[in-house]
Amino acid sequence: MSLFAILHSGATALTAQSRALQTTANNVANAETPGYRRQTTGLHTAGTLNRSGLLLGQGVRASTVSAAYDSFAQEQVLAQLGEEGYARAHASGIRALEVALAEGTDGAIGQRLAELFDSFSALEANPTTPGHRLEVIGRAQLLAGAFNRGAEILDARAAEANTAIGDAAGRVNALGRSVAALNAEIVELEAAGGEANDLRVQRSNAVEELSGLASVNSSEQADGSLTVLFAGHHLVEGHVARTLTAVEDAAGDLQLRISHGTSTFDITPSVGNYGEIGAALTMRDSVVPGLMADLDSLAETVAVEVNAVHSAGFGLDGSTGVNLFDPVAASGAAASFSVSAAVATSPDAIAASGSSATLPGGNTNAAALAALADTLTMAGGTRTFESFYGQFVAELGGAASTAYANEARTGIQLDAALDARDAKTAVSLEEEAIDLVRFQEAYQAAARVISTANELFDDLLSIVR
Amino acid sequence: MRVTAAQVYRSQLLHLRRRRTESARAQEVAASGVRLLAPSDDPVGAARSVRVRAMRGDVETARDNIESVGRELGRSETALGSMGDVLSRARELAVAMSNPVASAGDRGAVAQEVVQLRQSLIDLGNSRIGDRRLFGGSQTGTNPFDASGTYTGDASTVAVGLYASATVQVTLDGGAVLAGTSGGPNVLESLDKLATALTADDIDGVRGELDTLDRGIDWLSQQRSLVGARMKLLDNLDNHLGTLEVQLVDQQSELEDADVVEAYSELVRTKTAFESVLQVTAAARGADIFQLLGI
Repeated sequence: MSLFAILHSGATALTAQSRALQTTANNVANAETPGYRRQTTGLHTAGTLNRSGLLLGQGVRASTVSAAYDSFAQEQVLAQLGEEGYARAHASGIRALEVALAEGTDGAIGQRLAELFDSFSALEANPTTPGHRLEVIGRAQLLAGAFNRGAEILDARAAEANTAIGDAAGRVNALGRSVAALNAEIVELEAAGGEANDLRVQRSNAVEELSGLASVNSSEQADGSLTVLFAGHHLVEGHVARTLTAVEDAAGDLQLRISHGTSTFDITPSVGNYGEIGAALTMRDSVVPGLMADLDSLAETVAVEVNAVHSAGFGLDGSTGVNLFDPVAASGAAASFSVSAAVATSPDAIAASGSSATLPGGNTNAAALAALADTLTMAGGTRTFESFYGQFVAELGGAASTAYANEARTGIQLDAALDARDAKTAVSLEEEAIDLVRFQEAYQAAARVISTANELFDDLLSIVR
Repeated sequence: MRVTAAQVYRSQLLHLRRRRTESARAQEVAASGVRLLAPSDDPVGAARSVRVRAMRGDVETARDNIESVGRELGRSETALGSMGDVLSRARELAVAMSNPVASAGDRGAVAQEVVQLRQSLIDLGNSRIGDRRLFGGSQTGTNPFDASGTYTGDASTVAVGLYASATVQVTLDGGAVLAGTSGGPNVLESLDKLATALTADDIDGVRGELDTLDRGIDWLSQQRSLVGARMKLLDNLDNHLGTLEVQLVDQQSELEDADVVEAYSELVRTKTAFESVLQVTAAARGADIFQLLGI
């Protein structure tokens, strides 16, 4: 009878140790799985039996498999993912913008502006030579091209950010759905007791990916399901995932909405400076409009000031009141900046002379045009064109440099948070190797116990024969 | 703190990435010779660079203008010199013919020469460079003196701004130079009168023009000096601008270009750093516990 108890204890040991080995094998297999938490098998004594006053143990039981988890470390990781996602996407956007707009430090627009005013100076010394007049037209067209291109680059970047928002919304929905599905599965599995560790890892990874897109808050419910708040609004509750929609507004910009029953919430304002969506929104709604406003202001003022002087002068063909540039509205000035048709094809219409009486040799208007370069025309009468552009370049460079520094900093911070979390929860191959040895030896010992019990049976039976 | 496998590799990757990025940047700087590749490399420097480039453009244009204006002034100066020579010859003739010894026939012949001299003054008054007339004020497109010597140009002389507030007058008012419209002697009229007097064998008439001719010679000499002074101004300004240009080139280079020695040593340093991270990564692979435990 007690021989059976020995066998039974041995059997429980075999089962338990092999379960432990199974867990160790799982750990080793998942050593490189992102977000995987090291699992340990809980070994407990399998109860006691009273045998004629002797309390004998009944072997071992592998009761639970639990995973290491540190909620504080995980929260830190989520927070850093949001900041790093934002910084990285923002830096990438500004990098492309900086390179395209500034064209190295040649500063295409600045260079073209300087060259236009130089051509006015040259015209002053040579008001009648066709060559110098053609040069003025050529330089004016180059400047127009540079303005147009600048506006194009900014528009393209805003459009790209807009598309990124739409794409991200799709990803958010896919992730929300998978979290909801995992919630259902986890709740079901855990209802029977135990922890659905591997599913929880998958769910946690989905939440981490969401964090990289925008700010995410998650809280676990009593039944094991995870409620996820996305930019402050419920995205996942239990097995229900709400849909994030990207809706175009009047300007063609995508705005993000979550529907809750019959009401719809516009969550765009609450995304904040987190995640890739936050970066795309900043680029589209703040960075690009700011730069565009500066360019437009420069383009509009150039057109207005140059035209004012030019139309007061007289061309070789006697014409006056002619614009050098087409008049442009303040908004969209850079995009629509162009040389006027009246001048583009007739060099003689360029008004170098200050009055019709001093034609053809008069050059006072050309002198006035050249003098605009040194006039305080920008920023409420405090800056010249060139100093305004210089400041524009410096501000862009400063913003870019800050963005790169943030990218590097948040990258390091994220790594530190990941390290801190992994220190608590990730797999250490050394530990698993030792566990393998441990459980294998225990398994072997249990097998020995069983074979010893078997021998005892034989001995017993041989007595009886 | 527990160190896990994933952590080790993540850390190695981070270092590899950073060293690689630094190395790539050093290569770009060394290869292009430019250290200011984008405004973010030096925002303040980038703004200054815009300014320096604009100033260089201004200086270059100013020097071009000085060159072309200098040519015009040079031509004017030569023309004024020749005009002076013409008048001197006319005066010589007038002196000779005011001597009672000369005959009516002589005077008649000299009258012809004086007419020729007057014509050459008119031609000189119509001097031009390309199609720009030099003595017409702002009427640079057509000859300021017609065949009979009437001045059809205007008195609005053209000035050109060179650099900062330095301007220089380029064209001249032919009327003032040769036709006495601004207080100087009317030498064209004087030669006309001289020719008439010679033809009429009028010694007093001839003598009467001597004074005007004298004043005319002085006047033209004066005009010539004025132009000469302007040319001197151009010369000085050009020298100054030449020096300024060199300084601006230096400034621009300082802001934008990479120091060769610095760039090369940076190249070597980052390459070494990257290689050492690679070696560390390789060395860290050695210890494998499974091997050591024999399982």
